[in-house]
Amino acid sequence: MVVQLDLLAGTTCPDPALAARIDVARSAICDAVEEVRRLGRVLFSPVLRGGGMANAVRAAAEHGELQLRLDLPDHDFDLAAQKRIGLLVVDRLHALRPNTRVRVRVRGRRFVRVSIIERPPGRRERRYWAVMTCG
Amino acid sequence: MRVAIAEDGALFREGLVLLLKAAGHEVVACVGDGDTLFKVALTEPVDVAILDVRMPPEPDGGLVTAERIRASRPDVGLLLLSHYAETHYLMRVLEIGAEGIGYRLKERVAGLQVLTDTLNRIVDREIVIEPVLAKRLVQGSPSNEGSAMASLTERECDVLRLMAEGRTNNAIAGELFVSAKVVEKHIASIFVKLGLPDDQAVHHRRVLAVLAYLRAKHIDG
Repeated sequence: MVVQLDLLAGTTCPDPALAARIDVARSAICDAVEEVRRLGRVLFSPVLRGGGMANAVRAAAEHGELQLRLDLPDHDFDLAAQKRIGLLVVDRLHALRPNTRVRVRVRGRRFVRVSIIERPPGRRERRYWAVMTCG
Repeated sequence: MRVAIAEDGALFREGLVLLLKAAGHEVVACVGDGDTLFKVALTEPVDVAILDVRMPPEPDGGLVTAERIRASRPDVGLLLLSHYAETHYLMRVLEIGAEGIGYRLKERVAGLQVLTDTLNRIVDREIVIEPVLAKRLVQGSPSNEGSAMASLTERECDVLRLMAEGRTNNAIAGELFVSAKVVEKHIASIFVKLGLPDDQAVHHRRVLAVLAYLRAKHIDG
């Protein structure tokens, strides 16, 4: 739709007022796309599939303006485990306020222990733990 | 300009073709996956290849294909398009190449003017980065307090953001309504404050260095 509108405005529309209205419509579509994108990112991190757990967690922290310390084990997890752990952590990060300091620690192989320590600005520290079986 | 497109979304692919033709470019190929585009890039004269980041071969076929094209045909400019402006993808793009390469949001290049500007800059061997991503990297970092970034002046932050977008000194000067000399001074000051070597011979490496530095500061700082 954006492409079509741009073609209409740029190549066939001689009326500057109409071109400006088309421009507004195009901008509205971009805003709607951005909103859908934001919702989509909350439902499933776009980075998780291709970039893996660590990158997905970092991306969520970046979008949420969080100060993240990520502490992962030396070994790699398989893709299924990365998705499960990644979704768990990213879901929690989405709930945090900007500027929150958060430390995520992951340990274990088959029984994976996830610890999230968060300190929102001006509030007390909160701790969350989860244990999940992977593989 | 001769352009080849690889995009698995038929609707956007066709729209892009319309847009490119309207801008007076020649579309030498329009395919739905990276492997086919790679074959085209090896046999056809292509100035710029436009690739969707996420397309076959899954999951990130655009990045893999761009890597292969850059290795075999370094003269071909590369424009990676995505639905998402993500630092992870940006770093992957910059690992593929530090010149003649771009990473932009799909709906942003779906405008004649932006698309033409983006393609021209890539052909001129510049790096083109989605402005919203460059802005996010340079500004809005709570972890920057007390860091080297915090020591930058407001104007130096503006210059750094435009550097991160891959703009040349002259382009930055034009954007900020100052002389190129003033921009050079700001950049020298930024390099000193961020502890980065100011090596003019490796022009585009400054973007890599700055982005790598910023990423480290943002995520793990």
